[in-house]
Amino acid sequence: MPRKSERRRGFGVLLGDIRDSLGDTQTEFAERIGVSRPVIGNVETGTPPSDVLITLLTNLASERKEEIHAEAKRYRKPRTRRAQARRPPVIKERIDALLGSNELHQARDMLRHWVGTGESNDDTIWAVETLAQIEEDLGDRQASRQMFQCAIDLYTIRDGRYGSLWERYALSCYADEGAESALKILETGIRRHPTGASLWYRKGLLHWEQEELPNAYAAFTTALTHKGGRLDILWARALVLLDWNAPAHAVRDLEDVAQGHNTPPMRVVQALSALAYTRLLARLTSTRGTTRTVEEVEGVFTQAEDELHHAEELLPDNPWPHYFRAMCHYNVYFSGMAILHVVHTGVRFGGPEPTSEVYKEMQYLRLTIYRELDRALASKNPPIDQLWMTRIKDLLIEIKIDERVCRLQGG
Amino acid sequence: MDRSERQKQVNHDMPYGRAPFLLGLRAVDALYDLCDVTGPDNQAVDLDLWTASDLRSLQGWFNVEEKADPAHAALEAGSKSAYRLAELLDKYRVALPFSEAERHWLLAAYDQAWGPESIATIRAQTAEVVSAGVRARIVGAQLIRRWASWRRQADEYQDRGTVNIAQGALLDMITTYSPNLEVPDTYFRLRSGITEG
Repeated sequence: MPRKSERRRGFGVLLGDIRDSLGDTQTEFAERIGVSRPVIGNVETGTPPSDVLITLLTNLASERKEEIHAEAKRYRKPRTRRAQARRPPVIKERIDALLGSNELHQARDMLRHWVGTGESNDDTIWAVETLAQIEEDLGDRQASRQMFQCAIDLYTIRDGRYGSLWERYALSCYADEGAESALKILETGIRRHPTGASLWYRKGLLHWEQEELPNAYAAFTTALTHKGGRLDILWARALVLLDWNAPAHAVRDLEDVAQGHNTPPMRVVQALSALAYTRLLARLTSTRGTTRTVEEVEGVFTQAEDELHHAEELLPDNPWPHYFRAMCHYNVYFSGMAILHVVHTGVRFGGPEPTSEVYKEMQYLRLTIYRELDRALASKNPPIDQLWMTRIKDLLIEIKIDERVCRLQGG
Repeated sequence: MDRSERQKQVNHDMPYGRAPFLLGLRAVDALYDLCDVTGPDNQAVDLDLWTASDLRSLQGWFNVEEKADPAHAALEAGSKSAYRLAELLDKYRVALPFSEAERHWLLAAYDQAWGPESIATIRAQTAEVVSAGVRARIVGAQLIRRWASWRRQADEYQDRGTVNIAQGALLDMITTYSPNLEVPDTYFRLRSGITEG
């Protein structure tokens, strides 16, 4: 049948070829790339393809990238000035109204149609980003990631700022596939946008979660170099340094946070509380290898307690003084449990049994830790977030297990 | 999946091979657009207005015609399956609102005019063709009007049922050559609307 003008019908034929190779109907293909069906049908009838469609197609059939771009270039047609001025705000208003009334499906359908038809401009990128978020909210993470990728590509074409998109794209992956997969995406983002501080920050958090402390430290330091959110980064880096058993270095970061000109009161209290704990660790570890008298240790504790008390007075009902007070006691408790373990091993070889005083002291520490962690969980100014809640609950479980073991051992 | 399983899967999806499968694929799209005769608010589309949906349905027919020859070539000449395909295509073509000569002319004209302005271009064209030994004048605008009326079963096509015949032929192509593809929901919506009506 007619084929004379197949070359002239380039883009429509190319789109048909790509569909054929996948064995997709127009409906299936539209669903696969995340646009509405009429978008595909219209392009096959000769409507010039939008930048979004071209980007989505390129991501789908990367091996035909050159061909897609060449054909698209032949058929792309600028919109009239009137259409550019009038159309997007009207659609944006309608989308905003739909989102306001939580009609996500309708908003998605409208955006799927729009992104496949318009020329690329800031509104189109807004539409793709919004569509990505709606897909995410509707639970279709694959479609969401496809749109994030598309928005990133559009930003790249327009040489705009797109760091937060990589971040959101990575977070979408993280929810499904975990930290490793999200890290890969962030690394790709960083290769294309090496000065994106938020990407380095997010990378640091993921490395920290993976307990890759040197990588986390390096990522946070790079984020600082690229002028990322200083308070967040210093805070996170201090926590990494604490986990890395380098409290003296963590002190410097926390002091920076606490003394910052623009640090909000909540962050000041958080940093001061962490500082109290960190200084305690730094003082205890600085005398490591030498014998410490009970008075010396008590003096260190009193200093920490004073600092925590000061932080508590600055902002009542804040969780951090309680949390870090619990951590101060936990530090002693942890050392005590280690000693107890050694003593129990010695008992097997004829050594003396630990005294009931030791068990009592450990129980006292446990009760203090429970009390302070419970207070931290109950604090409302601000309430503790999910990540820290999980950490606290894990710690509580760990101590409860110790308590049972002590009971079994006769304590 | 090993090679034999893959082959089984291919046989299952494409019982007559790839070219007839692609005809079935295009039949799905054509059937979708042929049945998609209402606007987004389920309001009947204004007959005077040539819509994007009309153009897509015309493209759907064009696509089926384009894949018909390769599908025919892929089937063994004189075989039962080749005969069946010819039968289905005939059933489809005779239901269309064009004579044989008009159908050929319109396919060629649409192919040449393809693009956003295709319909305006065809509307402006006229031609003289010879059909059944008679000279006949073809007016592009008339063919376009007929297509719009036919797919809506309006004007001279009201209560003729020829669109149903074309839809039936497309449905048979789908179930024969690409049995695993979903029949478009617009078809079922339209059929259930007719039954309810």
